[in-house]
Formats: sequence, structure tokens, C-alpha cells
Amino acid sequence: MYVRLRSEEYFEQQISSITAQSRTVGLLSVPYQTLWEQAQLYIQKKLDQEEAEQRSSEPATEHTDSGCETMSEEEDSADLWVEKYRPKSYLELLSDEGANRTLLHWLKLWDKIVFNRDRKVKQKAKVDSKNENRFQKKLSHVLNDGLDEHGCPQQKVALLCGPPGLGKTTLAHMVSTHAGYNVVEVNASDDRSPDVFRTQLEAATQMRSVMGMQPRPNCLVLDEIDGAPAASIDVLIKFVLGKDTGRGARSKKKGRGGGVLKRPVICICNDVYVPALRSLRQIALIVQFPPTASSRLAQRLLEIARKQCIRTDMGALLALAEKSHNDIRSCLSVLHFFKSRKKDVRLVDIQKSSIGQKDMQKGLFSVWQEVFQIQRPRRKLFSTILAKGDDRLQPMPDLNSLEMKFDDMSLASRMLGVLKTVQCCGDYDRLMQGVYENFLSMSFRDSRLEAVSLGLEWFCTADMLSHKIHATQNYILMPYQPFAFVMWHFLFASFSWPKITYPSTGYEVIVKEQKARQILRELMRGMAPLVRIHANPAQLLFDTLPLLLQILVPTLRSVSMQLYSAREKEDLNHVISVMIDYNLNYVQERTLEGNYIYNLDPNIEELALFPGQKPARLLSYANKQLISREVELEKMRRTEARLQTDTDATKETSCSNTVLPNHRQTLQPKTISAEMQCRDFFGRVVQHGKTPADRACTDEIVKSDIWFHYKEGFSNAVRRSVKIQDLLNSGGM
Amino acid sequence: MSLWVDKYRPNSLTKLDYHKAQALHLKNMVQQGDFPHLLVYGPSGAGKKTRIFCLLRELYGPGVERLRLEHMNIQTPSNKKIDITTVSSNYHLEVNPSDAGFHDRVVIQELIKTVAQTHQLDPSGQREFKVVVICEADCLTKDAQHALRRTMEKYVATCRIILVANTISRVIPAIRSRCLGVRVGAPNKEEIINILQSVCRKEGLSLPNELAERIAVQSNGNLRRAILFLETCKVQQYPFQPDQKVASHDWEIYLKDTAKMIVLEQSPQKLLQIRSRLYELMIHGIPSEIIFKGLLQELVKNCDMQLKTQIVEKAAFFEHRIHLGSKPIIHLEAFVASFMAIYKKFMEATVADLF
Amino acid sequence: MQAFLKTGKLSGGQGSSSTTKEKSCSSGVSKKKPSLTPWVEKYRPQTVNDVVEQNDVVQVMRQCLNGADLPNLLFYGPPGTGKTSTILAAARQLFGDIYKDRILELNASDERGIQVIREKVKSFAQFSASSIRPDGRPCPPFKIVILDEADSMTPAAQAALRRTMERESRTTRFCLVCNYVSRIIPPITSRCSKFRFKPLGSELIRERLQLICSEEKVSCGEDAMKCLVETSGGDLRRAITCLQSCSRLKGPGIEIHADDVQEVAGVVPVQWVNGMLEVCHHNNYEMLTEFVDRLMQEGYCVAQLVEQLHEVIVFDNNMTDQQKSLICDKLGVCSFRMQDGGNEYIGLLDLGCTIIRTMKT
Repeated sequence: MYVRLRSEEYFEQQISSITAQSRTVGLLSVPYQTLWEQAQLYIQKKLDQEEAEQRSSEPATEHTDSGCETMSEEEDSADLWVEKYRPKSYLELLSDEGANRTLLHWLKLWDKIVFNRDRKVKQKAKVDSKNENRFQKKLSHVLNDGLDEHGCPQQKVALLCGPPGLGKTTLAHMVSTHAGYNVVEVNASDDRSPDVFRTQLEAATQMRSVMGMQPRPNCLVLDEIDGAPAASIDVLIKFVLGKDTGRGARSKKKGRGGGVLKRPVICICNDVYVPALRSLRQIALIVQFPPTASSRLAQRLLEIARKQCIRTDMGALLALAEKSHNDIRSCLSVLHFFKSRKKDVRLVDIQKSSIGQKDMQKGLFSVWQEVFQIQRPRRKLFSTILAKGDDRLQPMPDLNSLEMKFDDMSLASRMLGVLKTVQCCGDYDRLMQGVYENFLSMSFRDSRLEAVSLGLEWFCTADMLSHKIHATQNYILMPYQPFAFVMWHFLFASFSWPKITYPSTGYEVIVKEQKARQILRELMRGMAPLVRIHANPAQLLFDTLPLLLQILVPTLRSVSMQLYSAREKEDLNHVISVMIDYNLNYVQERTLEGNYIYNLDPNIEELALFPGQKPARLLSYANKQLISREVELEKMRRTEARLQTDTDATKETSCSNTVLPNHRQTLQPKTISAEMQCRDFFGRVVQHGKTPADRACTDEIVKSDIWFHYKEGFSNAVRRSVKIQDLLNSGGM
Repeated sequence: MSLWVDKYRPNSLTKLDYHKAQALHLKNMVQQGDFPHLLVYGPSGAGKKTRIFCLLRELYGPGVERLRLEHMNIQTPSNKKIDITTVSSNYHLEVNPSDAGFHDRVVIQELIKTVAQTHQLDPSGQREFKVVVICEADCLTKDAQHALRRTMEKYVATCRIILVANTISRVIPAIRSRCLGVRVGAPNKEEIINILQSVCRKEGLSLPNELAERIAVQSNGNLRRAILFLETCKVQQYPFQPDQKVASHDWEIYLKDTAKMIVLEQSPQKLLQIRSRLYELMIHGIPSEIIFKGLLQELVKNCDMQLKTQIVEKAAFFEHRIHLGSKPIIHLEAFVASFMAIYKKFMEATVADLF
Repeated sequence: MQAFLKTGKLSGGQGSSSTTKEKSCSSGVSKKKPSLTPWVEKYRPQTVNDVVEQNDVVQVMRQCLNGADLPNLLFYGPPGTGKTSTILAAARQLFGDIYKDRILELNASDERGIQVIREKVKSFAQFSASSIRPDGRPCPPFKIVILDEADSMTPAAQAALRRTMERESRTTRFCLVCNYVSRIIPPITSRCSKFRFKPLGSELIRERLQLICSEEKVSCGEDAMKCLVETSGGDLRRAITCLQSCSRLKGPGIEIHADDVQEVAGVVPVQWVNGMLEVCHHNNYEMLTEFVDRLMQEGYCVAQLVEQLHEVIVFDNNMTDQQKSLICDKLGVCSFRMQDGGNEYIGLLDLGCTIIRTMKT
């Protein structure tokens, strides 16, 4: 209905965009269906245009036309403007042309596998050439045109990112509908735990809807993916790469031959640098959304305003667009609001209204920058210029006046600014870590270190707060956290550009600490129980280990062990038994330069030595090798001794049924059961006693001392040549 | 059992070298066949564990020396798996619940309860109860201590608990009043010297008295340390020289150097260096309170009385705050920074006074 | 519950769960193996009338035994004053043999959290109680939920409780037992009648201890007795535990001395307490650190020392009131920090420095 109200300029613009687009569209393989739709659309539009022209030829005062008014009011109640003015086709999209095209192009690459159109290859070349000619250079998004062996594009996932309200979701929907897909959307409101996520993925990519007029292939749109749990994103990545080992997925996909993703997946996020997305970033086609041009947005707003009969002017709308950071949604909401108040929209109104302010999330780095840098006054819209840094602490008399509000130099506004930015970001812990690791390298004047110590006290407070919040789940304290940032801003900020590095030290330290703890645990695990019982980790760390390192280094000459003096041998033995007690040994490792060295294992040197310190004395390579071997030998000896004592013990307890070693056993003749019956060929029992000769023979064999075991049992005996003569001799004895 | 510390550990109550009256009392108690839960406390290296082991040996005979290591898996309510290593004999079980960190309560509830609920299997065993030794009881969280308290009440018939702690200030009163407290003070200097001498005699070495005394002083009442020092000295140089250098711990040296750096220069850049050094100490597992103590002892050396009180006050303030927060490094650094500020002001004032 | 009482505990718990009260001990307690039953359990009061010194509670309980309705109760007061004993004894008298079916004891220290409160309490409260005992005698038609250590319940759990208390009031009475009433959220306190349990007078404790001594044939000197009473601070359970530990440690038949009591009770000897003040008089930091070092090596409990110092300082005649207040302020801070796990060495040093500074002025 509303299309009728469209103005002339809008259509001109649209037509021009259609002509611009039509070539691209035409070049891509457009099925008959789509063409037909396109044609329909075109006809419709022409009709519309005619009608619109008719309307626009009527005097402009028709704005207040009652019919129009009531109609729009009816619609007001039914629909939000945001929904109402959502673009209805690809051509109406407001977002950046380049981004739109990249996404569409990417989606078209899927045609081969999804729609099974082979002739595409030829056409693709054309697209390519056109790509190069026309906008390859100005696009920052690198799209890999090649198809992999399955005929899928190299990048199987597209990741749309950009601040909210630029129309990312709309774009994804439009483009995929345009390319002939059925859109399946998953957003934050759905359950996104890994399992559910996987089933959804499978359902969306491997089935097609049977409902509806024409079954179309699905295109999965994952909205707000930056909020999804990391585990789910992992599932997605594995799925995309065809590595998913999940049970259900596996069996299903095997049936279909090769676990390849055969449907396009479009992900949408606000912040592409969320850690959870890190691995996704590497495999995805990233389409950055540049903010919509203010003028373009304003233009559109003007359209809408005209349609809704709001009296306004371009300047006001431009200001509105700028103020909302080109967020289409918030602009529309503001307009809607003004409309409902039945007021005209002027520049002043826009400036006064606080509605345009939105909760915009900024990247971590920009927040840190804001904390560390004093913003110079913005002179774009207002001409109040202050002198540089000298008067930055002057309190401003009237904070509510327009100038003051937009002046970034006053203390109060700085505070508000920082507070707002930090509150918007929300991730206080990481922000604090960033400030903490960076503030000392900032350039601020503080010769007496008072600012530093005050700032650090605030760090303590912030740490206590966050600990309290996490420990007791007491989120009521949360609002107090951002104030520390204000303090740090006042203490450490300067005008110069802050060089900020990502805070990784804290994390690294934690990793190293864990490693050290692991070593200690390893050590404790293997210690002799009697030693272990008197040692606890802390004591080991403080008292024993540092000294142990020195105790383990006796003065030994690098000569063969046979040449050692008695004392040296004693030392060596002592070292070896200590090492066994504490579960230590030397292991050979290869250094980066390719040399071999012996290191302690577990490496307690890492625990006890500090950088810049060297162990007092070092053992030579040969000595370490020697010790290592001796430790192994000694260990073996000990286990053997233990086994020995164990067997001794068992022997004592089980004296009665002594088991003779194999070589001492004498054979007993196997009793052949008398009942065993011989049957002849026909199965009749044959009575047939043993001949006495036989019996005598066996008896003789059994009684004699010499036995020949043929392939009987297992023997680990040493091989040695024995003459038959010897055997006979022993037999004779 | 070849490090001297382990080799010459006394293994019966009568052989203990100091606090003999207490040893006698313990012997008395055990001879009656029963004892209450015990809370053994005293500074590190004073011989708490040795004493407990002697007690157990007195109680059960040499069977307690047949020890084995066991690894147990415990699952928390939140499905996290915890790996706990225990040392046990047929008669007792030793566990360090603080290995499980935050989840020590589960260890107490699951492990110790299971042990406590099972009766002694061997009917011919002398005692009808088992003993559970809990190390580092002062590191237990409050939750764990409360859980323990209940367990102590419930299973007193089948199980006795011996708690080992460095200090009982952190043990909740409810547990303290359920246990018989056994305080094991550190041996004094003479006792340490005697022990060192007797160790040397057994090893067939001669130890000059001066060296023994220096070792005793440096060990600061920690017998384990003293014997380790002695052995280190022996490895480094034998025959002993009276003026021989006694090796000290690397982390102590590092800590002292850090403190010296702080006194030498006060600037944000220096603070950054100090931070990395503090991080280094923490990576090596030195707990923050030890770092605090070490820094404090070094830092106050050059100050006058008034400054000292100020610094001590700051130290106490920030040290307490560590326990309220979760990032010790921040609090340590805050202390260093406030020391720097105070010290700088003081230095400027003295310089101004001079001219 | 029965099992719990039977096994009992070796020595009293400070928190709450049961408290020793004088029990006029019927002399014929069988003594097969004196060392196995903790005396605390053995001499626990059996009836409400045995509970001494808490008159108003006893009054209410008596009325209730005579047929009056029982309100929801909140017992608070220092440990060892008979809070749990009172409610247990009352329950036993009210319900007789079936009392273990009629009460639910929730020890908040290991069964906390909303979930437990909801499920356990709810399922327990669902059964209605008849007003006749199985043997035909009348008994009150309600059940009792005893929430021990209620002050360590999370506020959320307490909040979950408050509606339950009202909804189940037809069949269930609640008895909350805690040390600090300030940690109970106001909606709960307003739903209960509160009773404060006073610390016991030293005479009562002495009387009880002497009774036990004669009963158990322990010889305890006059000074040792005095020491026991002093260290207990009105906590009878602690005193009895201490007495039993001493007699165990010394062996049967040997007289207990004051030093033994001090050692067992973990009291810091007087010379150390006075030594601390003396060292501070010297205004010398090195002497202070040396003193603190020695104290730490001895392994005394610093929290205890701080408490004892407080006593000494309050009754010191040489200090001005202002000095006392300054020092006591610091004592409080130190004690608080140590509770949170602060380092004893640094804390004590800080305290010493404060004392030095105040002494100078």
C-alpha cells in the first residue's frame, strides 16, 4: 500500500539503481523463475510509478490529506516503523553497495552445488572479469572466487559485521531470498547450546522445506552470533570444515557421502573481535559494514517523513542521522516518536532530544583509548573552541547549556563521557586489566607518584568489587565498577595518542603459574611415600627445592665411573638415591640449536630458578648422562629387590605348597583315563587293553632322570651348547 | 630416605629432640587407647608432621610405615572432576584438601566422609578407629571448615581427625573448640645446633660450632631448612670451614633485590619493572603474603621510626585487601607504589632540610 | 537425629549445634569406658528445667509444655550457652518417643542453599501431625524445623524461608539458632519471637565443673579450676572440653595444673602479653620485630593474643583514655584482618607500631 506514496526522487534513484544492478543480476545465472519475478516486479513498479506520479502531481499540501493521515495512523498501531519500512527487495537496500554486492556474489557462488548449474562456470569468468574491472579495488573484502573439490566456495561462511542498525539482518534476508533460498534464521532468542545448535545446523543445511509453494533450498542465517557460547561456535566451525565428529552428524553425513556443508551459512555479529569468533574469523568471508552515508540515510528519512506527513527539513534529518551514528533503526524510532507527538521536527529538537543516544558498544581498544586520551573538543557542529590543555580542569559554569554539553573538555563531561563508554562496553574485568597493564606506559606527569599510588588504590577497590560480585553473585554492586575508570581517566589521561597493547600479561602469568603447579604436582606424584608424607607443596617450593638443586650437584670429575674415588662414589650414590626419592631424573632434550642437553624431569629448575640467576654450579653433560643411567639402574635394582622381598614373603607364607621352578620339576606320567573308549570305523566300541610292554615302557621313561621336553612351556634360559655325552653322564650317575 | 632431612627424622615419640614434655603427654594420651581430634599447629619446619607420624606409630605400630600413594577422582556437584592424591596406610589416610583449591569442601564431604563411615576392616587391629590427617587446615575455605565440623561430630566413633596448620588464626572457632590443640613451637637456636651436630656425628663429619650457629640463625627456627642448609654446605665444601658461606634460597635473593630496586628509584617506569619481577615471583609459586613480608622487612631498613610505622600500616592494609580481592599483583603493586610515594616525599623533605 | 545424638561429639562446638547445660546428673551414669563418651554429651541437660540462667526462654517452654501454642523461635547468643540443648530438650519433652519424627534439624553449615531449604523443608512440612501420640497421650499437633547456624545461611536462602514459614505455619514451627542475630534478615526476625541467651556466670560454670570432676574422678587444683573458668568466658562447653582434654593428656589420677589448662585452651601466657606492651614502651622497631619473630616461632595464636591484649589494655592504669581508645581501635582492625586471612606477622607489627606511636604522645 505504502508504495503508492513514494515520491519521484525516490523512484528515480531506484530506477537508476536498477539499471546499475540489472547488468549484474542479468549476468548471474538467473533462472526463469527469478526473471519472471523480476519482470513482475518491474511491471508492478512501473504501475506504482505511474500512480505515484499522479499523486505527486497533486499539490504538496496534500500531506495533511485526511485519508492519508488516518491510514498511517491505522498502520501506526499495527506496525513499528522499523518493520514497516524494512526494504522489501534487494534494490531497496540502504546499506553500502559494496557490501551488498560482495555478499550476493558470494551467495551466487553456491549455485553450483545448491542448484546444480554447471554452465555457471562460464559465466563466473565474466563475473570475475567484471569484478576486477569495476569494484575489486575499492572493496576491502577479499572474496575468493575459487571453488573447492566439492564445488563449494572456498569460504563457506560469510560473516557480516558492523555496528547495530545498519541493516545487516535485512541484507542477509534480502540477498538470500533474492538468490532463491529459503531463509532459516537462528538468533539469540533461540537456544544455542552446542547440542541444539548442531541439530539446528543439520536440519537447516541438509533438509529442505516441503511446505510452501516451491520448495527452495535453505540458507542459514545465524544472527547475533557474537553472543553465542564459544562451544557452539566451535561446533559451527567443525561443521563447516567437515570435521564434525559428533555422533549424530557423523552417521548422517556418512550416508550422504562426505561431510560437506552444502548450504550457505551467513553469520551476523556486531563485534567481530569477540574472542569466541576468533577461529571463525579465519575461515569466513568477512563483510565489514561501513556505516551508511548520512546523506543517504537522511534522504531515506526524508522520504519516510514525507510519507508520514511530518514537517521537517533535510538539515534536521542530517543531524539526526549523525547523532545516531547512522543507525537506521534509532532514527526511525525518533521519527516515530516525533510523529506521535504530532510535532514538527527541527534541528533544535533533534539536538535537544536524548532519544537519539543509543547504547552503542565500542570495541575494547576504543574504550581504553577514551580512558587514556582527553578528547579534543569537536568542532564540527559547534564553534566553541577552547584553548588547549591549560584550562582543562576549569569547572564549567552551566552544564546544561547546549555548548557545555557538547564540549568535551570540562571535567564533568569528561566524567560522563568515560562513564558512558565504559558502561556501554560492560566487560569491566577485561577493561580493567587493559587499563592496568597499560597505564604505567602512558605519558602523564607524576613525579611524586601520588597519582600512581592513588590509581592503584582504585585498582584494589575495583578488584575487591569484582571479586565480591563474582563470589557472592551479588550484582547489585555492578553499577559502582565504572567509576574507577573515571578516576583512572582523570589521573592518567593526556592529549597525546595512547599506544595501547592488548592485555595479555595477566593471562600469560596464569598459564605459567599453572605450568609450575603442574610440575610440582608431577613431582609430588612420584615421590617416595615416606618422603611424601612429610612434604607439602609449599614447603617443597620454599625450602627444599632451591637447596635440592645445589645438593644434587656434587663435585664429580668427568671420568669413567670406575675411576672414581670412594668418596666420589659415595656422593654419587647419595645423589642418585635422593633423586629417586624425589622422583627426579635427567632426560635428554634437544635444544633449538640442535645440541642435546640433559634436563631434570620434572624440571624443578623452572620452579626454583629466577631469570637472571644462574645455578651455582653445573654438572657436565657426561656427568648428567652418567647419573641418568645410574638412576635408571638403581630404580630397576630397587624394584627387583622389592619383588624379591615380596616373593620371599609369599614363599614364607606358602611353605606348604612350594612351587618348584620349572627346571626342577619332574614329569608325572599323564594318567590316561581308562574310560576312554576306542571306536572303530563303524562307531562300535573296541575293547582293547594296553599291552604290558607299553606300560613297562612308560614306567621306564617316567622313572628315568633324563627327560626331553619338546616345545613344552616357555623358557628364557640362556642358550648354551650341551653335548649328548654330558647328558648321558648325568644320566649314568 | 637419603636426604638428611628425611634420613634422620625421629620416628618415635621418645626419640624426639625437643618439647619432650609434650611428647610425653602425647604418649600418655595414646596409651589410654584413645584420643580426641587433634589440631597440631606451629610454624613451618617445627616438626609437626614428624610428631604426628611418631604418634601414629605409637598408636598402630610400624604398620603405618607401609604407605602407598593413591589417586582419587572426585566429582563436584558442578560436574568438575578433581584429582586428589592421598597417602595412606592400613590405619590412616593423609590428604591435602587445598590441592582441590576452591572445591576443598567437596573433598571434605566426599573423601573424608567415606573414610569416616567405613569401619576398620581388620578386626584384629588394635584400634577401632582410623585416623585422617588433614594438611594445611588453615588454607581450607570457610565452607570446607564448616563441613568438616559436622563430619567431626558425626563419625567420632570410627574416625579421628588430625588437623595440621601453620596458624590457627584462620581456623574457625567451632573447629578449634572441638579439637585438642597441640602447639609445636619452633626449636630454639641451641636445640637446632645440637641437632645439626648430632646429624654430623651420624654422618661421620665434623661441624665447627660457628658454622652450626650461623646456619641456625639463618634458618630462623626452621629445622628443615637448617638441615638442608647443612647438607648444601657439605656438598659445596667439605671439610667445613667456620667462615663458609651458607647458601640461601634463590627466591629470597630475588625478593631482596626487588626491594632494593624499589628503594633505589621511584618512577612509573621502575614500577613497571617491579611489576614484572613480582609476576615472576608469583609464577614461581611464592604466595603473596611471603612476598609482602619479605618486601616489608627490606623496605623499612632505611627509614626512621615515623616512616616505618607508616609503611607497616600500609603493608597491613594492602595485605589484608589481597584476601578480599582476586588479583594479588594489584595489591602488591599498590603497596609498592604507596611506599614509593611516601619514600619520595620523605626524601624530598630531608633534602629540603639539608639546604 | 538419634544417631547423631548417640555418636555425639567429642568436644563441644562453638557455633551452635548443641550445647552443654548443667544436667543434674543422676549419679548412676554407667561408666564402662569413660574416655569414649565426650563429657559434653554426657552432661547435656535432658529437660527444659535443667537449663539454667535463661529464665525467659525456660518460662515460655514451660508454658508450651503445659499446652500453650509454640511460636516460631529465634535463639541467639554466644556459643556454649545452651541454645540447641534447650530446643532439643523441649522437643523431647513435647513429643516423647516420637520426637525424632517430629523434628528436622538442618545444619546450615553443610546443607545450605535455596534448593535444600525448599525441598527438605517443604517435604517435611507437608505431612500433617496428629495431636495424639501412638501410645494415646496427647501431644502438640505440629512439627519443629530446627535451623542450626542460621546466620551462615545465604540471604537468598533466608528469603526463601520467609514465605515457607508463613505458609506452613499450620503444621510446622521453626526454630532458628544462631550466634549473631544481625545476620538474619529482618523479615525473618520479625516473624519469630527472639530470645537472647546470656553467657553463663562463672559461679555456675565452676559448680558444674566441680560436679564433673567428682563424677569422673579428676583431680583439679583450685588455680586450674579458676583458669578453666576464666578461659571459658561463659562458654560451658568449652570449659568441659578443656577439662576433658587436660585429664586425657595428663593421664588418670594426675592433678591438673593451671599451665596445662592454658596450653590446652590455647591461651597465650601472660608474660608474652605483657611482653608485647613492654617492648612497645621501648620505642624501638628492631626490638619489636625481634619480639614478633619470636612469638611467631613459638606458634601462638595471634588472634588470641589480640583478644588478651584487649583485656590488659582496657584495665591498664597507666594509659589515658584516649590512648586506650586509639589502641583498641587498632586491635579491632587487626582482629578483623586476621579473620579475613591477613598475615599475622604484618598484622602484629602494625599493631605494635600503633601502640608505640600512641605511647609516645
